[in-house]
Amino acid sequence: MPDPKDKKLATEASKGNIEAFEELVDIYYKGIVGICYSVLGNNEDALDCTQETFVKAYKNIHKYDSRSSFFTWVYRIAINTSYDFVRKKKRQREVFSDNVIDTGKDYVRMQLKDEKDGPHEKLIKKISDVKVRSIICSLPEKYSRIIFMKDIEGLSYKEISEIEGINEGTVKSRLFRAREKFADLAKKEDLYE
Amino acid sequence: MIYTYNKHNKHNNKYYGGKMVKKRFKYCKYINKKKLTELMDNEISNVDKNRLYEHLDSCSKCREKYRGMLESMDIIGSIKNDRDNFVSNIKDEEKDLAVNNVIDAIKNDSYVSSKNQNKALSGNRPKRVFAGAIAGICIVVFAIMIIGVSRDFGVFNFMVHTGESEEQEIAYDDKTAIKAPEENQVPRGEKERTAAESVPGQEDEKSDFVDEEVAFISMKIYDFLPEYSYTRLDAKMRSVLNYFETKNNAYEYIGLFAYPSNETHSIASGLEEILDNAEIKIITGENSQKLLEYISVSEKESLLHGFEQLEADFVIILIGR
Repeated sequence: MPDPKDKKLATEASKGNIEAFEELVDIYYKGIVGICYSVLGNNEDALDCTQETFVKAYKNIHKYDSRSSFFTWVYRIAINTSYDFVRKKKRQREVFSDNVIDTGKDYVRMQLKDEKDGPHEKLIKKISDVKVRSIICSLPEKYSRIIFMKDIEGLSYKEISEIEGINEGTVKSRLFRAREKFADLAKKEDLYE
Repeated sequence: MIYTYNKHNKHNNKYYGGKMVKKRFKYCKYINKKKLTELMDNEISNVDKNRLYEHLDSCSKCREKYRGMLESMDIIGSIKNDRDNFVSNIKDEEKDLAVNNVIDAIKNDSYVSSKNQNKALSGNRPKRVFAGAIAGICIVVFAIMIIGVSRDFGVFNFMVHTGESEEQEIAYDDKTAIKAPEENQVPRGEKERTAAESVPGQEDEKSDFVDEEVAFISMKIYDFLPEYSYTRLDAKMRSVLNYFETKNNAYEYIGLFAYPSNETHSIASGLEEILDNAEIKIITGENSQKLLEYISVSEKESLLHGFEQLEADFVIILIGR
């Protein structure tokens, strides 16, 4: 069920009230950066993608029917935009250099939470995380999306079913197949020896 | 082997004229993919959980079928345990800044879209659509030609951009092909000047560019299409400009390296709107030789790679002061 406050803000925003939309952005910014970061694994792209998500959401706010929650609606935009980024990245990977296009001081810097670990442990963890992410991304899109949503983002079956437009039973069986494929690849990569 | 009908195994086996054909094991009411998923997520009821384990103890078929997944449950669990490593964590003050950036982007984007709407309402929409389609076809044709020709850059000639039509530009290029590259470049802001005025040694810009810092943005043409383009461009441009600012290096020139087309002008004006006071030089695809002289070998290779391998339609080059 949509939050009545979100519904009201979305209605205001659809009439062109940008302050109302700003309030929605403020509420959901962290959640959306989270999913973009999960998929992209890169702060700069996650911020870019989040910005683009909210711009798209604002442009299409009149299409939000307020039967589903605003979060699931904007989440769907975010995950689609993230995958667009992934596809673009694949095409442009060899021209773009992360060293050349760096984030500036105005850009938000995000930190991983494992600050208490030593540098070596951090590095090992980081490499392992990169591997896990690359395995998830190598799965067919419908499977990788569902793993990101359930196992990384921790959404409920109901939320996933709303976002993906499928019923909860299908979510569960798709999740099973996705995990099965992930586990096969993880074993091949000796990720969890 | 011949079996007689037996009501206890009627669901698992099929009988054809008294002969039993063993049905492939498929479904089991105690355990299935959905139940196992719930088990992994710890969202299964205790009753179902107990029933599932009891069944697994007694049914070898189910154990065999789901053995792989049951063995992998700890792998799935480990992703969940490491969830925090995949999740970003931004501070509140950083978030506020980012939210402001989003709202700025929306406002800028609304400004551009409303401008586009006004243009569309002026009654020229069919013409604009037609012109866009022609421009698109031209770009595809030129892209194919240039990719073919780019294998041998020795054949490129330098061409002055004077704001004339493509045909005139190409004709002009033919006439001036033998001239030295640096004699021919005209900044975009001076395009009203005639070619004759601008040609003879106005300014040797090559020296300004040598050994300067160069950043690239390579984009496919769809990055410039309405609705999508300006936002994306804006964000990417901003990150590049920030890069220069952090190095105390204000950008001085922005070269738009593109295949010659009418769209190039609209893109350049779009860029000018986004980047206040930026001087944007349009250097058409056939002028690549001149541009390539400005940049170092490795970056040149990236540029060519961008065009050849990734089929980028535009490369925007920012040159630091």
